[in-house]
This record gives sequence, structure tokens and C-alpha cells, in this order.
Amino acid sequence: MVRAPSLGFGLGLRPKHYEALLGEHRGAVDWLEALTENYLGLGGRPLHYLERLRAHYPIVLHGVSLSIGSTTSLDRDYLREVRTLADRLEAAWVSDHLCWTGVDGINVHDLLPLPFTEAVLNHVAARIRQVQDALGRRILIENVSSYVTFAAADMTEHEFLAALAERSDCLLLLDVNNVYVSSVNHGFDPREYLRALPVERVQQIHLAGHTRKGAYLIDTHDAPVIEPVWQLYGEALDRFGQVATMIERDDNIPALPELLAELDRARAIAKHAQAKAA
Amino acid sequence: MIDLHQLQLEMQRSIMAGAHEASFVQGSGTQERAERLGIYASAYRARLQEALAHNFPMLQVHLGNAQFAALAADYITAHPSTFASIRFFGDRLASWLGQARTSEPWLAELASFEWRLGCAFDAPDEAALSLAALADVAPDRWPELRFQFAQSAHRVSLGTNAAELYAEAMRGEPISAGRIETSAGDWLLWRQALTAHYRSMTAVEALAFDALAGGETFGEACARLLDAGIDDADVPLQAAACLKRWFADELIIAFALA
Repeated sequence: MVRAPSLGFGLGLRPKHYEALLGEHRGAVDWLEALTENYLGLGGRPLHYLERLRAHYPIVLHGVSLSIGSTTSLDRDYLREVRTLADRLEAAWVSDHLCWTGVDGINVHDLLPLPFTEAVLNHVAARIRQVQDALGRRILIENVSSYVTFAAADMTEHEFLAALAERSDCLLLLDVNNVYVSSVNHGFDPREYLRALPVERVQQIHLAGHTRKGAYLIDTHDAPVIEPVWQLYGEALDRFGQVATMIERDDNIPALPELLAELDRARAIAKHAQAKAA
Repeated sequence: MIDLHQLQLEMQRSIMAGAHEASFVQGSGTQERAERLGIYASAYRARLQEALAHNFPMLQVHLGNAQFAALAADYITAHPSTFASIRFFGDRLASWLGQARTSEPWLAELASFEWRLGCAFDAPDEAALSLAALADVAPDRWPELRFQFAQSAHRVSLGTNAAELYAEAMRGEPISAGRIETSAGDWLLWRQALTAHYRSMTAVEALAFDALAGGETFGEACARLLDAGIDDADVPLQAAACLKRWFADELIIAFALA
């Protein structure tokens, strides 16, 4: 097995919950995912809280600016800073997205999709290997929600992702909500997507909510996880076994107990999947 | 075989320009392709505007949401982000406002003030020295001393009462154009422990701060105060008083003898 043992059930760390996670709800989650860029090269209150939280929780780092699919050179300063932060926190792992965020010096700060072709696969796999060398560890690559596909594509996203993981020897962060959102936006079978991914490389799962806008689902992370995504999560666990799972909320962030209740639901689904597998 | 760089350039241009339909996107027709790309274009503008609102909350309060949104839209077009972290988007807003809104100079000053305060809030951590650290320096060597200030420490020079406007907006007081005044002054912005602070500086303190933070020795800083017309006998006392306060404010992180 390539992947590490599951860390259990966690949350995306947001400043609103710093005090609650250190105080009355200390220990209510097994681990935390910190957004890399929010702490990179910075000090003061954000880093102060992150280090205090690290004393109580394993922390994983989740980035949005690696731009692994871009045709612009990798940002070596950024990679150095990520490594410094990961080492300082003894991060359990580091992840980013299968996307590009800009070219020629611009960052549009969005997770833009790639055309899934053999040439692009080679391009991204080579860059992941460079990143893993620079960071001194395997990274996790997450599938993103998308709203466009490309005329030039000659393979599916799941074929691309599965081949990418093998070719670059990276791990995967499976965002179940993103699979669902993209399956609706592009009309594919999300179960076929799950079946294509290599079991031994899925090390983390994201769960989140989304918003409907006309004919499309938008990955807004501003609402509770919906029923079809919970169902797909259960099916993912049937295939991948016990995988570190967390709720990701970036907007309309509720008080911690509401997210803990969602996490309890994930725990129950995981327990059920485990019982079925036994 | 596709030219990935060309495709990414075209898609980026399209998103930044508000999403023109692009032939490289799959879709049943022009409208669907434009719709799909449009989702990214809307998110692009919304995300950057949100970042500006996060970095300049009191400027937004001062202007009101509609005016702030219009200003943000213009700035996003003029200065797209080049940062790995969106945290730093808006670094040129103050200088851009200084040129774009010349008849309302307080806007650029409010933006500058807020930006510096935000930078102080999460500047890298540095251990401050106490005044006692200077105890071993013989008085006759003081003129040779050079000081290193915390990275969070900055002087902001204002020609209006933008700092008061900031404070009023923070207190949630209603905005009145009548409150805007010409009011030249220097302000010191820095972080102490986890809190960003600001206070007004005297002309002497501003002069001494600029000299010492700029790498001059204590003796050279005193010479500047003399040049500025400070009374000969008062110069060392006033310079020492500034220094004492900066140590108390945890602004000094290192010193060395030249």
C-alpha cells in the first residue's frame, strides 16, 4: 500500500474556529487541514494559532497556488516556503489541485481545468515529480470541480487522474463533491469515476456543499453536504476503505457544532462501510 | 497536438475580459460555451473583489458597497494579481487611487493606512529586544549604534485626516464628507504581540525613525535632528526618548555598533 494510514475525521481549519478548537471543542476532530497560502511567510495571529493548534492536532497543508498544470515555470520560491512551513509544522502531508491558476505571471486565483490529453499528462506528471523532489515528499493531487471541458481532450478526467497518479507516483485527494458537481456539469457517471481511481493512492477525501446556478452546479463550499454526495461518499469508502475524511467550508461558515454534526454523519457512513467490508 | 500554453493564454484572457466565447471549449453552441466560461469570469471578479474587501474593509465602509465595487472592478482591470497568495492582492491600490482619484486624496491615504496595518498584522514574527539590552553599551559609543526595526514597523505620512476616518469607520460611525480635512501628520504602524497598532508621531520621532530605520547610526540620526532645527541641547534627549519608546513598543529587534 502506497498511502498512509487514515488520520480519521477532520475539518478545514478556518480562523472563525481557532478558539473553539483550542477550547470547548478541543479534540472534537482528529486532524485539521490548513490552507497553505494563509500562513506562508507570515507571522502574527494566523501562525500563532496554527502552531497552538498543531500542539493538539495533526495538520495537513492544502494549497491553491501550485498551478501544477500551468505552462509557466514552477515557482521555486513558493515551493521553498511550502517546504519550510511543512517542516515547521511536521505536516502529515501536503496537497494541491489538478489545475492551473494562471500563466505569464498572472494568477487568476481559480482552479482552472486542463485538457486531458497524453501530452498534458506527461507535462503534469513531470512537474509533480519536480515538486515532490523540491518538497522532499509525495504530494496529494485533488480533482477539481469544472465547468468546461476541452475540444482537444482525448481521455476522461478519471483516466487522466489514474494515469497521472501512477506516472508521477503521487497520491490522490478525492473530493467527492467535486466528482458529483463535475458529473452533473459534464454528464458523466460519478461511480465510473470512482471505479477508475487506484485504491492504494487515495489518501484523503474532501466533502463539501455546492450551489445550483441555472443548468450548472457551482463548487461554492458554502452549504451543507447534500444527500447524493453523502451517498457517493459511502460508495467511495466501499471502494477505497477507511480514508482520512474532512468537511471543507469556505463561505457561510457556521459555528463549529454544525460542522461537527456533519462530520458525525461521515463517521457513521464510514462505520457502516467498515462493517460491510468485515 | 494542442499548444497548451496558447490555450491557457487564450482562456486566461477570456476569463479576465469577462468570458468571450472560445472555440477550444466543448459545448453545443456559442451560447453554451460562453455560459460555461462565464462561470470562471464571474468567479474571477468576485474573488478578487472579495480579497480587496478583506484587505480594505474600512475603505469599503467609507465608500459604501456600490462605490467600492466599482473601484475594485477598475483596479482588478488595471492591476491583475501576480501573487501566489491572494492575501497580497491590493498592494498597489493606494498608489493607483492616488492617480485615479486625485480630487479625493484621502482615499489613497486611507488605503495606504489600511494596507500597512494589514501588513503589520501578519508580518513575520521577530523577537523584540528590551531597553536593558543596551545596558552594556558605553555612553560614548552610542553615536555608533545602528538599530534593526521589526518588519511590521512603518511610518505612513498623511496629508488628510485619513487615520481618523479609519478610526471612525472602525467604530461604525456614519460617514460624512464634511469630516474630511487637510491634516498633515505622520503615523507609526506596527504589531506588538498579536495586535496591530498605530499612533501619531511627532515630527522629531518621524525624522529619527526614518534615519534609524534607513540604516543610519544614532549619531547620524541626531545630526539630522540638528539640521532640522532642533535645539542643540535637546537633540540627544529627544532621540533617546524616541528610542526608549520604540523599545517599549517592541519595535527594535537588533542593534550593532558600527
